[in-house]
Amino acid sequence: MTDSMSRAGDGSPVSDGLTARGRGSTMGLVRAMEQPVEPAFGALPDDSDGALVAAIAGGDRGALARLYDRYAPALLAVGQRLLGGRREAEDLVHDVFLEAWRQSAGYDPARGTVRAWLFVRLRSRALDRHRAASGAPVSIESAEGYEERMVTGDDPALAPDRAAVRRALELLPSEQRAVLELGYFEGLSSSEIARRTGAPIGTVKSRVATALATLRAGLDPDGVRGGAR
Amino acid sequence: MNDHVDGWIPELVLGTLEEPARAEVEQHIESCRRCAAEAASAQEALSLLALALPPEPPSATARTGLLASIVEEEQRNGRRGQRGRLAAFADQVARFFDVSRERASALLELAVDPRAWTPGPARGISLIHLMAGPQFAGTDSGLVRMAPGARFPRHRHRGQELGLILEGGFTDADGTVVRSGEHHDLKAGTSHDFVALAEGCIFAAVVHEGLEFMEPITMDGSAYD
Repeated sequence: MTDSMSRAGDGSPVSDGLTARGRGSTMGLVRAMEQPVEPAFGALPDDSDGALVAAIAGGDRGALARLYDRYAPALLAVGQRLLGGRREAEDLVHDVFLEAWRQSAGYDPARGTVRAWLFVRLRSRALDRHRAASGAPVSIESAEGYEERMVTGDDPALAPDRAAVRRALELLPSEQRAVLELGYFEGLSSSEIARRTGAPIGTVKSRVATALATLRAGLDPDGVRGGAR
Repeated sequence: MNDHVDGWIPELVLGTLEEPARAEVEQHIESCRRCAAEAASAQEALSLLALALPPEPPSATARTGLLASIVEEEQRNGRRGQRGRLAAFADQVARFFDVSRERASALLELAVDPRAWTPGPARGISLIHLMAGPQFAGTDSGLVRMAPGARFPRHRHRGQELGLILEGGFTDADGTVVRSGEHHDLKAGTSHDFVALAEGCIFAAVVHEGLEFMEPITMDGSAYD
């Protein structure tokens, strides 16, 4: 192996296809996410979610691609937690963005942010499938995992909100974080959470209410506006 | 239900609320602006919760699949009269990738949109990854675009590679010039590099078992346009 070969593709000259797979391809993909080929990030006067949706309503596919690059990684993460499989989750994210494309003209900012619209659609469709496939096994990860997870290759516009939600979650006692996690990411109902945690259902209900109130208080509206709205 | 439903909203938005309470609360929210606003506000906080998970970047084929679905839909609805300069290749590309004519036609329209492309393995090269049909399951398939004079880095084919040139052309390492409309297949174990003609090149490729690059590849995110 020549010196130049050994440097190819992050130390391995082997590729699985058109681009180097493994680390090489991941990097390529991540870079594509960070820097859409055209226009480059920052090149648009306004690439806020609202402006992108307005452009989408005008038939701008590139704007949809931008919105996809911004939110698909987060939507896919939630979809995978809810459905268990990556393929099903990718299909779900595909459907949500198709719906966004079709319904963009009817989007009303007064009724909520683009982001909430996307995540509400994703979760309601995922939960429909989840309930249809009753008893699908779900794995519970400890809520302690949040701190250790690294966030990379992500739209920098989301960074302030990612930091804010992690700070807000740190304020929650673990039993409150657990009900949010079991409900939001595992798709369990209140009585399922009660069975899972061994807490009475009334306790689960009050924990949900308290957890959500604490989360909202922790997400100071002025501090969470972020760059992506 | 005439009373406001504040007490139920946390469970409703979290999705943990069960029937029959869920239907009742939803019905109330339909007609109560105050509770609808409260639910929307709670929903905003929850959608931030999603950002606590580490992101999972989707595959490049998933991104292409979404864009192609949108173009297909536009074509079906007749929203796009102009189907792009590559439209004449729809039947050939459908056979080449073992996909429907509609999908092939959508891909060809996408191919004339600079924003559909993602950076390739060297300067001046960009790619549209796609999921080819059942005949080519497991292959790495897609369109490759080369800027005028761009060189595709030297590589070895671990399996067979099929190629169909859609626009412009390139000069292969042995001096052969391949042009628009021609097929260019390469056997497993062969290696080469090649240089795009002065007009650049777009070709379709199905790669079995992958490529081994034999020189440093620069994932520098460059693409022409």
